[in-house]
Amino acid sequence: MAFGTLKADTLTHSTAGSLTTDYVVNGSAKAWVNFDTGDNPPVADGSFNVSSLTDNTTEIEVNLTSAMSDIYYAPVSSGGSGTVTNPSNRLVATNAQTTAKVDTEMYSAANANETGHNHIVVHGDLA
Amino acid sequence: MTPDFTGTHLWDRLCWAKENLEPHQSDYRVVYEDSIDECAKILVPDPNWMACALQGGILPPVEVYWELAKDEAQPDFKKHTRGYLLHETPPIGPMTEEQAIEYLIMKDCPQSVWQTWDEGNRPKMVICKKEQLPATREWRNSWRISDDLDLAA
Repeated sequence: MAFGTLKADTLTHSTAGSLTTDYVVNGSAKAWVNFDTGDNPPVADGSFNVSSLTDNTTEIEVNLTSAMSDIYYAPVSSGGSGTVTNPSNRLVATNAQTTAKVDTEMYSAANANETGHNHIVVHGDLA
Repeated sequence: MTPDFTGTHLWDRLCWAKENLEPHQSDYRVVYEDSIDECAKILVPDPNWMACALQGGILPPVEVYWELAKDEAQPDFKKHTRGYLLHETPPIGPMTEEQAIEYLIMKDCPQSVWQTWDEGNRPKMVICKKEQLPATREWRNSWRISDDLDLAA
């Protein structure tokens, strides 16, 4: 590779002990995206390892560039109403639909579809 | 200039792109219908992905994704065993924005849509600019591709 590479199997702190770099590789988020379902249609305002969003009305599908190894990865989500003063009453559900597609849906505590800021993070193993 | 990424893990290539390329928000949108019982879906390109496509030397050929999709469609699929295709297949060169949209359609839209998009009684897929979509989402659940679309235009 043309840029610097650091190869190490272990990170050692002066007093706190050691950690194998497996923890870093396996524990890092493999993809993330921030979008607002109030936009028409939603666009990725910030992202990594995402190729596109599919607007499926109340559900937004997140398509990954570098796929996960199986469908047992862990998409994690949060949401906010989009107002500065009150981010409450927004929940986001996610589902690993395929190894390269995460299905998401924002809703309220009353289980009504809502719009707002969606934050999706994907953990797991890459293919 | 893109480094020589031959044999470099795709995720590492995306890390380089994130650090070195300006995101490019395309005005193109892809409207498609994959079920007669559902309203239209809208595909929106990711700005960081589009930057990779325009830059070249980062993304694998789209055929790699088809191979992985074939594996995943097998009833006994548990885990990808050919993930190396993403990383070891030589990356493709720079694309125009229009070529990138075509690539993205073949990657992220169902094959049943883009392989036969113009073979039915009405088109199943349209590439448009964002300004051509309805201005509000008030009737989003009923959006369909217009029957009056002039495909020759």
